[in-house]
Amino acid sequence: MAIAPHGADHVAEAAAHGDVAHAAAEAGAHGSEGGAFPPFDASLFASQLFWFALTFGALYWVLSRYVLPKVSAVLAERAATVQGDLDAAAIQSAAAEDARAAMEKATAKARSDARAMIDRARADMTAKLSAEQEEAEARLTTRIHAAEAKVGAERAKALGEVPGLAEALARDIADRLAPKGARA
Amino acid sequence: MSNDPIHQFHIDPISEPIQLGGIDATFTNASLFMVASVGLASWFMFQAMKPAALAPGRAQVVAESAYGFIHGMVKDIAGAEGVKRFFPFVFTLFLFIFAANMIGMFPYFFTPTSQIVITATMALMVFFTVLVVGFAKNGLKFLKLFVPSGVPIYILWFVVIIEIISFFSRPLSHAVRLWANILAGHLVLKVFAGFVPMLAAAGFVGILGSILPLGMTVALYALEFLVAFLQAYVFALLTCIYLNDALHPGH
Repeated sequence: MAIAPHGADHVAEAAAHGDVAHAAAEAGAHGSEGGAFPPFDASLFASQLFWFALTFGALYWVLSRYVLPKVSAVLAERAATVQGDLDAAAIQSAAAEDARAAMEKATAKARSDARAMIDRARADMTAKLSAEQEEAEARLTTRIHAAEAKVGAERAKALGEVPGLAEALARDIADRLAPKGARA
Repeated sequence: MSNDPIHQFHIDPISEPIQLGGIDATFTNASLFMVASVGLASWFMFQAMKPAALAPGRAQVVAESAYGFIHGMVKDIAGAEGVKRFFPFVFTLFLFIFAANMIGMFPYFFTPTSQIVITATMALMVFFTVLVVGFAKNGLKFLKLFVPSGVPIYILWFVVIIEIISFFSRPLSHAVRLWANILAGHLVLKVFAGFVPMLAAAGFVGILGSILPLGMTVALYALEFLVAFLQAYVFALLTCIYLNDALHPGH
């Protein structure tokens, strides 16, 4: 269909459908005649404004009454939940940090206790060992002294016996060389 | 089907003529698509927020993102007071325009925002809201809006005239920007789409040639989706800027 002024086009179209009455009624009631560009056809404004007011008002009512408060409530609840969870996590993390610090303190204490115990045991052992060593040395010293004294005594005794032995030996030798009768 | 690109803007009655107190309230295709846009938008938002879940589903994420998008915009431009007073209004404007634009993207559907009377009504709603709230809240101090500070006195009178003209031309540009974008987009789409059957009817070479306007139509369709969103956003953005003047008239 050729591009024609709107009103004529429309009437012709309706007429082609055999609906002359409808086309005429429309042209009369709705004034879309005369080839007016539809957006500028003032006779169409009233109905559009009426339905715009109705629908826009309805949308405003639904949104402001139900939807938007619900969204803001959900967002606030979510923010509160997240914040609460974060706070709880912070508290738990602080508790874990405390526990860790306490554990470290306990470990350090146990370590130092163990070191002290080891040191004490080592000192005890060292003292005991040195005492035993000293005792053993003292015992050995007395035994050495005793043995030296014994050796000294034996030697003195032996040295004391030497003149007698020499005399007896000389006498024996003399007896052998000159029998008893010859000397007399 | 008519190949007339203007045909898509025709308003035809669906019901018998309805008169309410002397006002023409005939249910037309324009009414139908306004009802459809608002119905679809309300239905979606309502259904999406029905679970009100802490861990949202897909629809709820969309609804919350739309809320966050407009809420952030109003807050950035008009501050906390702007949110308190105007957030539902700006959100309704955005959603109405967005839904109407998107519904209009369906072939053979009517686009309510392609009518200047609708966009002008919305622009005038914003304009008079600015005037009423501006004077109610600031009294005569609202007139400081027209007197920028820090302008030398000898050209101040000239600046004031410019400010007044720009203030009163706001509703015009506000309304025409949305209307002209949608109207022009739909016209261009219709013209290019109309080339396709016209060429295809001209034989084999025509069928090959019709690929060009077809590709153009597809590309323009993508562009029009962008425009449909962008114009809703721009309208809401300008609304925020104008409403901010009502709350904080000092420059």
